[in-house]
Amino acid sequence: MHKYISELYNHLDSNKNSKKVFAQIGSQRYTYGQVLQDIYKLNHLFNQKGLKEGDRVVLSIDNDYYTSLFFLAFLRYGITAVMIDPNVPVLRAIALIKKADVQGFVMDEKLFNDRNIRIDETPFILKVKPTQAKKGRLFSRLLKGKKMTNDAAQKDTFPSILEKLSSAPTDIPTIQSSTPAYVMFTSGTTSQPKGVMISHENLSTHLQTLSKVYGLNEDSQILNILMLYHADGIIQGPLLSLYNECTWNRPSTFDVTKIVDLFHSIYKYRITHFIAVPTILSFMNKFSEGYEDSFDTPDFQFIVSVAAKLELNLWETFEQKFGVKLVNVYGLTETVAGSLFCGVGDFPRKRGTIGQPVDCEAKITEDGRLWLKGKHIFVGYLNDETATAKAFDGDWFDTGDLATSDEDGFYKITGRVKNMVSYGGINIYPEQITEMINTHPVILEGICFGIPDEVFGEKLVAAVQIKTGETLSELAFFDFLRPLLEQNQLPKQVHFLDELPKGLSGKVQLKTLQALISKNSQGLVATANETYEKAVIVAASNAFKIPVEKLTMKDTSATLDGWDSMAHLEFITLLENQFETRFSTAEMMTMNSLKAAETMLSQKLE
Amino acid sequence: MELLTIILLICIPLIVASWSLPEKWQLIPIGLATVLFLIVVSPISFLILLGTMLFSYFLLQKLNNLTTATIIIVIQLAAIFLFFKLEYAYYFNLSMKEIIPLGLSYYAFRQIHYAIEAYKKQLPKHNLLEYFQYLFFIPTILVGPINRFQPFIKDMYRRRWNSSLFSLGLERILYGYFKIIVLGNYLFSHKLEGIANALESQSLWLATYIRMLRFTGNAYMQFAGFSDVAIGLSLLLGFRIIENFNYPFLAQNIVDFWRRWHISLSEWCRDYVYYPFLGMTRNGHISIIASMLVLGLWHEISFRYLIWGAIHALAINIWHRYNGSVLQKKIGAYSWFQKVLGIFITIHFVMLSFVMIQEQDMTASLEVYKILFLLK
Repeated sequence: MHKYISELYNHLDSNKNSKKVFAQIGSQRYTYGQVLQDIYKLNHLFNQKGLKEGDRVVLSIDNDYYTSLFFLAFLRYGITAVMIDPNVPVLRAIALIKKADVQGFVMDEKLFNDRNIRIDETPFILKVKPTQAKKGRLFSRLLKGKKMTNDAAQKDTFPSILEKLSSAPTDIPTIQSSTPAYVMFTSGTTSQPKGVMISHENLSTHLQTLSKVYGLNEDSQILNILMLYHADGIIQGPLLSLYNECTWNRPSTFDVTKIVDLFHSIYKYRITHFIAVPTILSFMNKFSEGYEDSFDTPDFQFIVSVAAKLELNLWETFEQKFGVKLVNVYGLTETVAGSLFCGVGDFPRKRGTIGQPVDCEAKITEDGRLWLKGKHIFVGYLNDETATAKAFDGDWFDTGDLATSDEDGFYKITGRVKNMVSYGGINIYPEQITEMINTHPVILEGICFGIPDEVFGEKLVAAVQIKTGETLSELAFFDFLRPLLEQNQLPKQVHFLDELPKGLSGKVQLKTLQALISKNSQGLVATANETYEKAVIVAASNAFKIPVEKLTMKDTSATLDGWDSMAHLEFITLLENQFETRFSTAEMMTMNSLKAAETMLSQKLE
Repeated sequence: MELLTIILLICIPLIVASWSLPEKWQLIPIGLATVLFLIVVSPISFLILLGTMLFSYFLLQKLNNLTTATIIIVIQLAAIFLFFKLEYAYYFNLSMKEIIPLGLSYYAFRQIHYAIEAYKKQLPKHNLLEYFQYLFFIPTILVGPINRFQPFIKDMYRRRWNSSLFSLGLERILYGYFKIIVLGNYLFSHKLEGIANALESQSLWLATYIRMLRFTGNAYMQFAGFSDVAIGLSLLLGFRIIENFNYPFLAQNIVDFWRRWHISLSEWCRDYVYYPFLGMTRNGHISIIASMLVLGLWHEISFRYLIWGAIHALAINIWHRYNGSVLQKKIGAYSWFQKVLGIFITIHFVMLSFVMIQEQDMTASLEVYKILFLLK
């Protein structure tokens, strides 16, 4: 195994013409030879532009191959990638960019305007504008005519810019082990974002651990469809594959209607390891009819559940239904990816726990907090000494999770110190949403928090108090929040209260509020006596957070902004619960319009 | 040249194409080759298959009431099936060369399966091209098995080069031809017939018994051999098709036999005749009779197949009565004996039932029974 990233690249450079597949993204294959040559070209470009080790460059591209390519090219050259999801709301993106104080940007072209980037004040700017293969190029080549002006305009954008760069390998610079490899933003409010800095040492140490516990080798086929702007996506996908010279498979991004493709891909791509989050596993478990044999292949080894708590019930039912081993990895963005492993490879396991620490130490302090120590623990929060100091006690890092451990050394998470809502495995920090709510001019005070949810484990709800004499409808509330927040961050319900319950100190009493709201949140669906059409509209309004009057039966998943995969499941579950029925996998997958939902519902019940 | 061999030859370039063309084009030649094959060999069959395919697909897509759509499709297919099976086509000067359009029995049942699965909302998301690929799949068009739509689509999406599957496919084709030529044509047809002829003057009973054995053995070898070739060709193209036979002559009772003989048809009858009848009548015995009659008449609509189906239904019902009875428990105490006795009775019941199919008419069959039961 390679002790340093530079060793990895040294080794890879000897295979620069390899035809071995590095990544299978959709139907497109990228060989090691191809990705290495693209990396060399980019390293020439960085050299030309005067970038140096430790410079921070924002990476924000929607294209999966380009994102992984730049991430890997930055690593080789010693540049720190500042990972900002291209789909992050504008205000948040601007705050993150400001915090990061960067020397360059590699972003989708349209984002430069949206995010008010001052091009002339930044040393390195690279706009990404994917080119589309044009028909009829054969004749233009044969005639050797002048290139179209359109091409000329694109020559300084990526990937067109690659054409004029040399693909000869560049020297691999000696990179300090303390140099940050990347920065990834995690919790914190919009005004106080926290950028986790992972050094080259953190990264290489952890890549060794992951490779060891997963038992990866050059024949491994990793299936990882997680977001590349989350550590589990980029680290346990392209980077871990490159580190082991194996193949990263990403048949599609996650979408409820593509669950079947996910099942098919296990056999088709000879997958050995599937990296998933509990939400994906939950969807697969729910819509598994006819696909129970999907993991029964000669190659498949195990599923790795990351990012969120793997509920014992899901763990057991999934393993039983699919006859596959499901293992859990506990980690945070601050620990690169993992720290404690439960049942991975030959490591022992106890279902329902997060396992045991590997290549690191764990301890639980008297207050129940879980602390970790190891070479993979991050170096600190970017430009935030206070937050960094608060997170560490010497070499020990405070995970912010509450845990217990048993006599066999297995740890179990029992709660969180930080206020966080895990919505189907996606971590949402209510303070961030609360901060946004309180910027609304007619809201006197508002607060966001989590309440239990049957399908998603927890869901985010808001309680607000309106200023005297003002009015605010539920729909106006969501219309206000939608441009400010990511879809998953939107509260699922809003409750307008005359007064928020407060203690003597003047702080909102969260437990009282949670109990009150949990009780009230049951009656939000249409009654069973209403027509199917009305029920569908009401369920859609609740699930997609769109006013009833703005919905028509002609609406489809393409016309409704809020109709994402999570909301899709919520929509279906609302209808299932209301009518005490159950949709089949095929129905769930074809329910892509309100009309289709109504037809299915009426056919099913009549 | 045998049609199966023609199919085998057609499949050679298809196999090459299916692994060498860009992925999205790999399966197109299979459907097109099937179309061409049918147009040349049995144009009427091509027209029926194309017409019913389009009708079924669009009716299920367009008609909101799935029950009505399914009933219309089943009636339509049953009408076409009966029209040809009852030889009405002959009177209309249709299909002169063969009375039954090529593969009709298989693709009609496949389409009924598709319609009922659509009604049950058990079909995966698919398009017309995928349905076309399923119906116009050359390895199974002629001799089955009556493979199902869901596993076919699953394989269509999952298929990838797999050398062990490919080698298994080659093996199955070899076994298939061995069963057809060596065991079926030579051993059972030729050799046993010679032995029976030689014995006829010495022992009519033995000669008749050997002829009964010859017919059943040959029927099995031919049909299982054809199925092997179909399954083997499918494997070479990357599709795993349902097995049609599983050592049927090791069956210890008649229910077990039907789990091992023409599996795709018996499962079809279980799912689409037995269960619906059971749902309607709540009577298992009647449901068994209904499904075995359909199973018998699927082969040929005639009195002898009606009787053949009925006696199998009777045997299954008798076995269900016997199963779990005091007698069975007593015999079951000697498990080895029960096993051998079970196999002996089952194999002889099957062979005796096949006499009805072996002979031209029921009168001839009765003559054979008289000899076998020493009444003549």
